[in-house]
Amino acid sequence: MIFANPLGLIGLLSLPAILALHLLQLRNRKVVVSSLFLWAFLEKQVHGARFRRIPFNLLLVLDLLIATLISTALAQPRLKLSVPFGRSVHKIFIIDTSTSMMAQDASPSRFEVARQSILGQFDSSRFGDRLTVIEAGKQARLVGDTYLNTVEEILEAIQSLQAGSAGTALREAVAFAEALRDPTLPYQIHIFSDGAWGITPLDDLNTSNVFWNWMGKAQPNQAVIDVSVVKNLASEWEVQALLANFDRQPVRRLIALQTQDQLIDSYEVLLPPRQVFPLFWKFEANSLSTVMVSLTGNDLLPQDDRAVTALTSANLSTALRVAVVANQPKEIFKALNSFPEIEVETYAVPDDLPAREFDLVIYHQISPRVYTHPSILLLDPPSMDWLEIENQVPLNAWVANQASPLVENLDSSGLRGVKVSRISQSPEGFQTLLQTTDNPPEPIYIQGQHVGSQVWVFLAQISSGNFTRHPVFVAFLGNLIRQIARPNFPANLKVGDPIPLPSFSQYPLLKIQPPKGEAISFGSNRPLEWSATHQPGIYRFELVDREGVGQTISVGVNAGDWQESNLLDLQRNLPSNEKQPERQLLETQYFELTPWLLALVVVLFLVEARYAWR
Amino acid sequence: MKLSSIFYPAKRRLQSNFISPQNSIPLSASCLHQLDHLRLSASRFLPGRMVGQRPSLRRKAAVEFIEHRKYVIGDDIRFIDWKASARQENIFVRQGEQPKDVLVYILLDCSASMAWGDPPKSHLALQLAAALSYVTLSQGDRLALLCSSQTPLKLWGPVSGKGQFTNLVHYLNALVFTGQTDSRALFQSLRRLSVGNGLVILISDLLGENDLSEALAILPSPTWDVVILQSLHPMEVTPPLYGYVELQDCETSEFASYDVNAKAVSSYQKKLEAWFNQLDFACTQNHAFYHRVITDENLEMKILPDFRRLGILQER
Repeated sequence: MIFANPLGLIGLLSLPAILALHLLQLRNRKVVVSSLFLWAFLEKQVHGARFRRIPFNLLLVLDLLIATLISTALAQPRLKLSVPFGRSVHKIFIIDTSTSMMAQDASPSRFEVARQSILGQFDSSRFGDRLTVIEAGKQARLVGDTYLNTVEEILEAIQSLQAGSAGTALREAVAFAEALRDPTLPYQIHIFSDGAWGITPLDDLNTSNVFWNWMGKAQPNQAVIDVSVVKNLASEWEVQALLANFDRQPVRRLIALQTQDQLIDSYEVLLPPRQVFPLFWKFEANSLSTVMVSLTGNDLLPQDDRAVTALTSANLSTALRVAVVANQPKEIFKALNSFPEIEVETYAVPDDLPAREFDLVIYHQISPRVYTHPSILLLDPPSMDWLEIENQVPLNAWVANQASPLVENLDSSGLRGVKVSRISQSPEGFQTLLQTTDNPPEPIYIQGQHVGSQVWVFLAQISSGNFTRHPVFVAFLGNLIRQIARPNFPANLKVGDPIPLPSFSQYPLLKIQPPKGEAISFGSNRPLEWSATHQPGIYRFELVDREGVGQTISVGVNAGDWQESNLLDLQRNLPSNEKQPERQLLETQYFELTPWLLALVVVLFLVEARYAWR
Repeated sequence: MKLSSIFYPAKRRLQSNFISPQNSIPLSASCLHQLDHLRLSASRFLPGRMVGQRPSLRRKAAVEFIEHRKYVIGDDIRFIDWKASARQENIFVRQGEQPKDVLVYILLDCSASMAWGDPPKSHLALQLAAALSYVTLSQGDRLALLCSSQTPLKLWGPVSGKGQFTNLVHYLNALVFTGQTDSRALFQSLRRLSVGNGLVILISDLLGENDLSEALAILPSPTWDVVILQSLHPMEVTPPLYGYVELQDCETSEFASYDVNAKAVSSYQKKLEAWFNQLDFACTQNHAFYHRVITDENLEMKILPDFRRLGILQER
């Protein structure tokens, strides 16, 4: 029981006053009777002995009770009741999609058991319930919500979930769930995980609305958690691998080192308990594209029994070549030089531009003669046959017309004296990225294809006002540079980590071959990065550039990880599903007691009146 | 002159709540009408000195036949039943009943305790005295009143006839309730002042009366017919007192402190019941009639019907 106005309890101080008044009244109470003859049988009291004890007669008890009830009513008591809930409920399911959930101590795997449990919850949900599924992998991600998607879409999304990521963003997932929860409904957060989180403390997540569903049990496991390859000065390949034994006993396993086409070495190794064991190899080979270290034999998590690294990704890591064609290229050149690994060349007229390929050509107040380069940026262009400039209008502010990496962090506040070239109409096939806040809005930043080149047109006059001195100028160029920059494929990474993809303007054809399954081809409509790296192994990227030259890049994706491979030390100090009692869904209600207390006071007043006036 | 016209002024005054300087006796017209049809029950053995309206054991030669008696020398020959004598061998005389009256003494306890309560017990006591006096006078009996507060004690009456009721009301209204209850002294005074035996009605609360039997022995049966009407206030039967109280006797002004709780009240009521039984036993033992009235009872609706049911009053 809580009190909304605890100051009302001050009224309880009236209790001693009432008691004193009764004693005072008793002290002066003299009664004339018809005769003492009838009272002769009672024992007379010694004078002054009446204060030996408090005279608890009915009137006094009623007075004390009434004062207590009025004081309590003034304090506005509320009874906190947990009653069984009968209405709809918002159930939020968080499923752990980390690599450890691929352990096969549950049939067929921990993740599959968790998935089936969630699907079972969908079957047993009632009409009106809101169901939300959140994936807790390397990052928290919303899988589906009956408020936004149909049940069929959510079930399909659940079926398409795959375990395999280094790390469990459980805290982010719970915060995500708290943000998504419907405030009008009681909610439950059901977490399906195995507790393989390393040393991350999650005690604060153990609230009354969180239900833990543990998958699997503590199991021993061995893993290859890292592999690296370097070429020494003697042109020998040096391979270093880290093996981990998450077991209380030493374990003998057969270790193998192999390249893309042959087995280099294989022998039995005794892995000490609860330790990481490094191994080194040194060998000679002419060409080396992939190196793989693997543990033979089976354990509960075979995905982390091998690690692979690729050696071809460095071929593409060359500098970005940019040409600036402008009468006054100083400001542009200065801004471009702030970016690393960019080669900038400046030209005064388009005719001086050499025929060799540039990744990006920037024209300032000059129209291009030819559109042979893959990416062209036109800054404050003059009227052309395909782009007619009408006049210039002052720029007040701009706003992004669509979400694009090109317009991220482009804040127009602080810009002064900048003018915008007004065009009669946007060229066909061009999209507006930025526009003024005027009515009607005028386009500022447009993009599209023109004569085989990807063209961006920036209609703001960068030489006017303070544009080139404003931070937005560097941010504007930075967004574009990042958009057309060449990909830098890593040699290897952990499962779940995204791989950035090259742009369509550089490599129109892209084909990805995952370790299992069919190859996926991309054209112009491709994502910025490839995040479907849940399966460990070698991912091959076949790239074809504008000249038709193809090349293949391999990236090793490994499942071995300090946290995910440790299936022995599970963080289950939180209540487990085996010991956790079946909790009934309860709803907290506050029951106002004040009107009932006041009604009781009225009744007691009537009783006292009847008794006193009898 | 009609009797109703004689008593009308008294009835009129009572009906209009005649208030004297001391007391008031509200007897409604309907109550008086009810009393007109009642009479007091009294023992047949009580002597009657005058001709009244009550049947008696005395016989006299009379035209109104009751029974026959053998003729003795000296009988009036006018009452010889010649027809009956002709059928028998003896001569018979016709005899009729000689009605008598009863001398009714109403003794009123005028102690201070009778003036206690709200309304005071004296209110009902005066009502009872007036009502019983009205019945006595209306049935032709003689009435005498003795009130304990007078010093020296002096008998009012005996009087007879309804015409005396107005004087009686004036007398009752002027009574003062003071002093202490002493029924034994009252009975002794009655024995000394009485002009003959009769029906004695004592209206008192009997508070302080420890040995009523000794007092009743002063007026032995059958020469005296005694009715004790005890008048009590409801707060005397069930005292509404709790806690520490300091009680003061309204007669003696003595003080006494008591711790009254539910248990004490229960014990009080048990003792009170035992005292009632003791009074009843004393009256039974001395051939007296004992009845208790509570002052919150209505005279017309409760007390008079009770009197008729118990035989104190009966239909004429």
